[in-house]
Amino acid sequence: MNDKKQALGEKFAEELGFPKAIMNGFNHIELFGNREAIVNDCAGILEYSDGRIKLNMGKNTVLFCGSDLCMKEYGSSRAIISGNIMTVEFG
Amino acid sequence: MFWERLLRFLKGYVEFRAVGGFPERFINLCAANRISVQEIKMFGDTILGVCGIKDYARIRMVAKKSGMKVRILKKTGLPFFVRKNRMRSGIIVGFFLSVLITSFLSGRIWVVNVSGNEKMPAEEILSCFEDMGIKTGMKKSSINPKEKAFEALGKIGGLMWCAVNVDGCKIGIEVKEQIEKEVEDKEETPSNIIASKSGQIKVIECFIGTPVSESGSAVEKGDIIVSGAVINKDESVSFYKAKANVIAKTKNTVSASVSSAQQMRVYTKIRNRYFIDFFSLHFPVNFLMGQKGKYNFSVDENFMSAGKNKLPVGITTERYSSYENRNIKLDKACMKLMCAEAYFRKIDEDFDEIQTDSVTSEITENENGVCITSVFECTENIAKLQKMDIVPETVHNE
Repeated sequence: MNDKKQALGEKFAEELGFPKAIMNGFNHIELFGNREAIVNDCAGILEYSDGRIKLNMGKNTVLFCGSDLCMKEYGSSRAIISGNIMTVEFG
Repeated sequence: MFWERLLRFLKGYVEFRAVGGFPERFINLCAANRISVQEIKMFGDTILGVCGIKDYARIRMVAKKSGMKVRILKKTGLPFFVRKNRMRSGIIVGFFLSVLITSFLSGRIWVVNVSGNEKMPAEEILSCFEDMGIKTGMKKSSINPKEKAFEALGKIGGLMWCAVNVDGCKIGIEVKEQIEKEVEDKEETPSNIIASKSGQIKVIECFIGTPVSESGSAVEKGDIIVSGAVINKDESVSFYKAKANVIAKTKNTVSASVSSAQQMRVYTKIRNRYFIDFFSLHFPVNFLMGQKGKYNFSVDENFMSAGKNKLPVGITTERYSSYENRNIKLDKACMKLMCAEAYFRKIDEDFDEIQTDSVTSEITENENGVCITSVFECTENIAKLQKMDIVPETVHNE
């Protein structure tokens, strides 16, 4: 049912010329190379260590793996992760 | 980034360490309670972070809920600095005073220089400009350079051109003096050339006139050497202003003497009065009662300088030297020294531009004084103009 809703939303967005992300409520992540990532609408931190930061994005989770990872800023609206980001995994 | 750091510094921030408990829960609770935490780093079970002063006050409650122990590592920012130095209000007062003084002094003139003058003394030019209002300590904004330069040209005689330039806190006055025209001596009154001193003539260079004496002859002071009367070919007489150089050997005697009994000025007491000069202000440091008796008065100025520029800050000393005239007896060495000084001063005045062939000197000294006498044999121009008294010839009709 959810998949059908999602597919309908994507088609509707395509017809009207809107970005699909807006219609389906996808989370916004900005990557600046592999040095910094800005994550909007983050629901919470699930795991935090020197080489792994896992964030709860609501519908899914995102895992940043790398070295010297540091949370430059963490608030209700956004989180900024800096360091050497090796991989970004969605789960 | 810079502005964020500056803002954070102005508000003040705290670096803290949280140990134990549940780090992720701690961070989530901070976000839920709208506590802004930055620079979060994780080392095992230790969290290092930075937050504002007010946020730290609330973070302790959050840490308790997540089982963490929080400790402050460092306090940084303006509020901490002000609190630490609240008893040292003088620093702030001094800071504002220095800003005030600097801004006040920057709007004033510190130095006034004169350049381009050769014959006219700089003090005279500066004094005239002072009367017009241009002096140290005046406001920069009140100067109209072109107007003042034009006014100075009218007031100071002998100037061809004048410019006033304001450069920062300095005023440079540039002047150009008038070039004096050489005045030709157009007076053609008939004159003779006479001997200014007695001597033996060596050479007569006659340009205008009739030589009366000849080379090798001895002349006395006042004798006519070249006459202004010239006999023409038709035996008529014309009168001219004679012009000639008369080189003669002369003998000149110079004598200087000093007696042992002298009246000398002996200084008994020196008293100083000090003034502090700050721009146009001149206020005394100490006061003196009225001076009695005879005294010498002198002024000594010591101003600070920046390179070649004299700054308007310094100390002026007025010196009152009381003295009395005493009769003293000089010793031989002192007499000789004073006599020599008088002797050489006379030679400087009289024989400055004369060729000296030989000198014979004699020094006589006794208990009452010392005397130096010298006879100089010189070669010099003894020509001197003297106006002729022309008496018209009366014709007697017999």
